[in-house]
Amino acid sequence: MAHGSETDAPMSGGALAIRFAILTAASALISGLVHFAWGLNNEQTISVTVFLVIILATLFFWSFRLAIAFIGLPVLILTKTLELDCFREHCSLEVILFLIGMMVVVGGLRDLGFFTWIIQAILKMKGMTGRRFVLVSAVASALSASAVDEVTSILFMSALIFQVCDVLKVRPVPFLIICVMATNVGSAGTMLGNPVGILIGSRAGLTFEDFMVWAFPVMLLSLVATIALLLVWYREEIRELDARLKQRLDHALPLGPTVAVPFRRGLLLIVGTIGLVALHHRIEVFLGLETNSVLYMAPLVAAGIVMIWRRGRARHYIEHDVEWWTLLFFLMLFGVSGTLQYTEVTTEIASSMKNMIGDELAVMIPIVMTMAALGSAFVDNVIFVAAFIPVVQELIGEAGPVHPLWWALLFGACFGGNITMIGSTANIVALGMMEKRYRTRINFIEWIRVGFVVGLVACVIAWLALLVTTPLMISV
Amino acid sequence: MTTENVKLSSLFAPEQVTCHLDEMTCHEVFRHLIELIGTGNQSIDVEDTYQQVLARKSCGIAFLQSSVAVIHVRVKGLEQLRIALGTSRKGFRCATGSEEGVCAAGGLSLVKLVVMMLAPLDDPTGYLRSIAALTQACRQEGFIEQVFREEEPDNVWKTFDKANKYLPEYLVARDIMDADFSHLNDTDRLSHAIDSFCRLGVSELPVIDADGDLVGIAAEDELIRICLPEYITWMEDLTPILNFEPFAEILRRESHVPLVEIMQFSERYATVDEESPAIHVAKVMLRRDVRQVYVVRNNKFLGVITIQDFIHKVLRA
Repeated sequence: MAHGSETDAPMSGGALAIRFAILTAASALISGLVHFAWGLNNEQTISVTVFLVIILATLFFWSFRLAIAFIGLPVLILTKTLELDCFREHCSLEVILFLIGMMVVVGGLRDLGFFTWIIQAILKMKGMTGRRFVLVSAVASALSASAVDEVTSILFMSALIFQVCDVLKVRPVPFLIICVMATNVGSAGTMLGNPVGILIGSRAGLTFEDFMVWAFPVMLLSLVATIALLLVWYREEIRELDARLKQRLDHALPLGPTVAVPFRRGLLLIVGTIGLVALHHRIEVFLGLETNSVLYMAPLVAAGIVMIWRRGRARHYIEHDVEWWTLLFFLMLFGVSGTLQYTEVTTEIASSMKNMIGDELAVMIPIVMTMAALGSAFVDNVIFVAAFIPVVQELIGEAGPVHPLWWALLFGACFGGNITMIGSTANIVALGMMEKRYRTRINFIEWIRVGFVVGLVACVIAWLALLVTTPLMISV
Repeated sequence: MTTENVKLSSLFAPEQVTCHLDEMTCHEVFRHLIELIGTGNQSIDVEDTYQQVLARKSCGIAFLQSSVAVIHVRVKGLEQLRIALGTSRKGFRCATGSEEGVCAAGGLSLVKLVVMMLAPLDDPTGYLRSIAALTQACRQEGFIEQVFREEEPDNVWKTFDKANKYLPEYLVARDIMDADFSHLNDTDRLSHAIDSFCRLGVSELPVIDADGDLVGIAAEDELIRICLPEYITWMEDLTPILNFEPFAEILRRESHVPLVEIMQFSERYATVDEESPAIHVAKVMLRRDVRQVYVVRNNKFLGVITIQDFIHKVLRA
């Protein structure tokens, strides 16, 4: 399934020049500030500047972000700020391979009608009401985000929302927002849900089972609260949907055509893939393998099987279903953010934080979560997390992998994505689809009013859950 | 030619009007009308102009109404726009070049008024503005019937003069729209819409309510989308539906399903006010990425402008 696209409208030469000028000026200003105010050395200044330029590029030059990352990396190498070996060490190739494998599997699942089957199952549900539809679609969004990834989840759940809203002639915006927010919450449930999850898992040495024990239940609690809140928030719209739905079902009219889908093959593929991922730690222990080695290889094995099974489509999966643009950006980004660690900028940030807030977990957890949530609301959460992981590593020190600060970072980054309409890739993809289909845009204020409340409630629940579970984690 | 206060009737004289074209073929009518303009006008080479008309006739004919055809060519050396008119009580078929078949734009309608317009090569606006004035005259109640009834060129000219139409400063949406475009009513059933698409060969139709207000459009592609929604087309292997099973539901229900099932609302189509300049219509088509726009007056449906209308009435001017 396509994971978003580069569909920015072409920018005029003048607008482009103005934005580049702003970017250059802002970068120069920030460089000066960090150099003189924080007393950073030359290498540290360069690494911070390049990283900030990439952040600004994602804000002001979305379609140029990869090009700017491509230029940023040589700047670091040629100024001897970063060595090639260090880049190789930090670029998290295993995460990239994991994502490639999952993207191929998702392509296979789509071809095999697995997503069609899920949508049809919801459309055919007996005794459907407005409230039940919202509940089912929100839970399906969250669970499918946990099972595959947030972007795939929102792509096929959007199709369901558009279908039902088109048939019932109701405004799709509230129902799309509900699904997107449930997707963002659900993406924190497993390592598969969000690139942030696998990245944290990879750097912290967390296993799939760790996520199931420490993240999934918290995700479920936050999901319940999120859905309850959204059911109240959009009660008028749900009432209208309910009335239209009842009218239609009273006339025995379906919500959409359904066909017989041979879903078993798709089900086998997804169950097999998730099963292998879920059991990775036990297999690694049993075979005496390196931690997470089976985790990274499982999607590749599944992808390989898909490509042999459906060999006629193998090239299509690799060329069209793998989002090379995004993955290359991640690769560059991980390398560049590794420079912050290499030049010990992250050590400086971590010691500053420790000096300011001390090392009390009860204080550090909400601060890390708040920083991650606010950072992810306005900047791509992968960028934020990639940069913040070394800081958290410094804060944690020699503690074991299952540490509450990792989960604070994960929940903050995933739940914070609900605050603004640019907070996560799922938001951007869903809004893009709606804009293309209905030629309408969601108002920024309309989103942030509900997004801020939902993000805050989910983060507070996660914080409370971490307060309860912290003693258990420390004792593990 | 001056651009202000030009009366339509001043562009020709009774000598450039001919009645009773009933016995002539389409080509003979064209040649005759060119000769009427060419008489006493040294800048017009009748044979050359006639060949030009034949060469571009298939895409150079504009139909203001089904029975009113306008043929237009540009003539090098001509100083100002010249018009000749021919009327026929019974009407005749306006056929294309070599084949005596059906005109691309006019369908099978019988033409009762032919307007030949010869325009200077370097005057891009005169023809369009004349068309606009002519369109307005034709929409005047009883005007066109009166023209068809007259048997003397003098009286035809007087009818035009009495219509008192002046060339507008610029072309507006109303001047280039097709006012006879078919439409559906919001109370229609799906079966009626499907019949209309098949019969008329159009891709979308406006839907109006009892007050004549435009309330939506019905589009062919939406009909297909309803049968084959996105979630079904995701599947690469469509073996389960090789026999168009999803279409069976529509066939079963079409006679009692309301048209609203496939109706698309304002965000999915473009409208322009009848007074909008023609160039604005082009802009709307491009910006909204649509192939036709709906002309309205306070949301009252008046007509349709398709891309083809542009090609025929504007780009071929």
